Amino acid sequence: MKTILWLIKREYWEHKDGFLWAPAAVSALLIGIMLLWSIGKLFFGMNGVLYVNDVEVVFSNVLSEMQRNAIHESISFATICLYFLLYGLLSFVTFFYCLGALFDERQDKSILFWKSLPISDAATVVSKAIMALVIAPLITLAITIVTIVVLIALVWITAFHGGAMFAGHADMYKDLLLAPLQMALLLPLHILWAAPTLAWLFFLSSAVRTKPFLFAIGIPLIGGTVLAFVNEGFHLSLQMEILFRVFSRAYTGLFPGSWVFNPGFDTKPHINDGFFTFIAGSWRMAWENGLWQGAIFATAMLSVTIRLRRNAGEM
Amino acid sequence: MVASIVSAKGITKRFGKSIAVDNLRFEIPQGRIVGLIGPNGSGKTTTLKAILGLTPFEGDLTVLGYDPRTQRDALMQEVCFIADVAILPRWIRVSDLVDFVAAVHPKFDREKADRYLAKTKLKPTMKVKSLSKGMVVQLHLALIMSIKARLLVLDEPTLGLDILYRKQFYQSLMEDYFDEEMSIIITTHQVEEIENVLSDAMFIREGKLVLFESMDRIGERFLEVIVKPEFEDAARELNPIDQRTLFGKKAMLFDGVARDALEHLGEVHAPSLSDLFVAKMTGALQ
Repeated sequence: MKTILWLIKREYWEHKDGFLWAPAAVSALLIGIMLLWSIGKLFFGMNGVLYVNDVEVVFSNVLSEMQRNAIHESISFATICLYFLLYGLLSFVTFFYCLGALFDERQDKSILFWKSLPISDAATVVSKAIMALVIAPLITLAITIVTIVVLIALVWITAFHGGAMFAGHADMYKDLLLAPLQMALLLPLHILWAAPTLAWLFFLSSAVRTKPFLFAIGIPLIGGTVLAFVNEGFHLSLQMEILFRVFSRAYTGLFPGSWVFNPGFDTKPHINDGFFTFIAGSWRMAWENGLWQGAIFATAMLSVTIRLRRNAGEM
Repeated sequence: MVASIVSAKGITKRFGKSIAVDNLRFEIPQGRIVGLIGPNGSGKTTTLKAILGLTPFEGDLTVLGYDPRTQRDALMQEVCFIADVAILPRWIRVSDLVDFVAAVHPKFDREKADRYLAKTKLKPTMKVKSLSKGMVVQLHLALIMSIKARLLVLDEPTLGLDILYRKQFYQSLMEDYFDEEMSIIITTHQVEEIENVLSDAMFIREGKLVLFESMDRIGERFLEVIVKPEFEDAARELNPIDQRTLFGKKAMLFDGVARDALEHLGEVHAPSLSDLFVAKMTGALQ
C-alpha cells in the first residue's frame, strides 16, 4: 500500500506539468480576463451598466425576471465553457499520459532502474491507472472549484461596487456552484467509463516498439477503412454503425462526462435535467451502453499490460 | 558449506534460431566477486538478464533460492543491479529519488545514502538531467551502496566513464560495500581494471562457459613461459594452449603443467587475466 502511494507520488512528480500546471495556467488566464473586466468596470466607470446577452442590466438591488434569466443563462454558459476548457485539457493530457505511461520508460531505459527496485509490475501499472483516473480528475476538479469561487467573488465585488447585491440571488449562479459537486459525484462513473480507453492505450504503450500515437490513431483509422471496403466490396452488410459507436466510445472515453455528447448513443442525459436526475441518467445510460463489458475489457487489457511489462526491457 | 547465491542448471536462451546462451551451468557461492567476461554478443548480458528475471529462458535457475521468472518481486528485495549507468530517470530531483528509494526499499539505509551524497557535489534540489554523467553514476552508486543486498549485479558499470571515476568506483565498492555475506557479479570489457578485485573469473564465448575458476586456481593452473629458443620444441611437446611472440622470443601459455616442469624452459610467470582471456577466445577459434 505504501509502495502504491509512493508510485503515485512518483507519477505526480513526473507529470506535474500536464496535470497541475497546465490547468492552473488555463484557470489563471480565465481569472486574468475576468479581472481585466472587473478593473474596467470598477475604475473606468461604465456606470454599472452591463450587457448580458444583449439585455441591459443596470446594477441595482432589484433585478427583473428578464435580467435574472439573462444573467443565469450567461453564467450557465460560462460553466459549460469552463468545463470544456479544463476537462477538455484534462482528457488531452491524459490521452498522451496513457500513451507514454509504459513507453517512455522503455525508450529512455529508465525501466531498468525502476525494475531494480522491489516493485511489482502490477503495482506500477495500477499506480499509473490511479494517477490518470482518480488523481488527475481530482486535481482538475480542485482547480475548477478555485476558479469558480474566484470568478464569482469578482462578479460580486464588481456588482457590489455598482450597487447590486448579487449575493442575494443565489439561484442565478447555483448551476455554477453545484457543477463541481455534480462532477465529484460522477467521478466513480467516470473511472469505470474511462477505464477501457485507458487500458487500451496502456496496452498500446506497453506493446509497441515505436510511436504509440500513430498506433492509437492508425489502428481505428486503417481498421475502419479496411472493414468499410470489405463491407462494400463483398456486400457483407455489416453494421458499420456499431464500429463507429465502438470507436467514438473508445476515443472520447477519457473526457469526463463524454457520455453526454457522445454521438454514438441515442438516449443521453441532459445537463439541464436537474442535479440528481442528471447523475441517475448518466449511470443508467452508461449501464445500458456496456459499462460492465467495458470494465471486463479494461481488466483484461490491464492484465495483458502487466504481463508485457514483466518481460519488457529497454528498446 | 557456503550457501549458493546463484545456481544455474543448464539455462538456454534462444532469439529465433540463434542461441544466445547455450545450456549454461554454474554455481556462484556466497562471498565471491565474479567477473563475467566475454566478447560482444557472447551472451553475458543475456545471462545477467536471466539472473535478474528480466527475460524468459529455458532451464533451471535459482537465485537466492528464488526462480527469477516467477518470484521476481521477492527476489528484488535482496538483489541490486546497475544495468547501465545512464538510466536514472532524467526528470527526477535528487532528493525525491532518495526519498522514493527509501520508501519502497526495505533494505535501504537512508543515513548511509546521505553520507555518500555529502561526499559528492550533488545537491538535493538538482535534477538528474542537469547532472554530468559522472555525477549520475555517483548518485546511482550512493543509492545502490546504501542497500543491503545479498547479490549485486553490475553490467558494464563504468562504461564511458573517465579513469578517475572508474578507480573511485571499484575502490568504494571494495572498501565500503562488499562483505562475506554477499556476492557480486561484474561484466566489463576493461579486464585489467577488475583483475585485482575479482575472486573468480568466468569466461563465456558464444553462450558457452569456457572457463570458470577462482583467481587462486587460475594462478596455479595457468603459467606463461618466455621460452629460450633452444627449448622451443621441448616446450611444444607440453601442449601450450596459446603462443605469441614477445621481443623475438616465444611466449607460451600452459594449462595445468607444473611449474617445475617449465622452469628450465625459460622465464615463468603468471599470465594477466587479459592475456588469458585473449588466449581462451582465440584458442577456441583455431
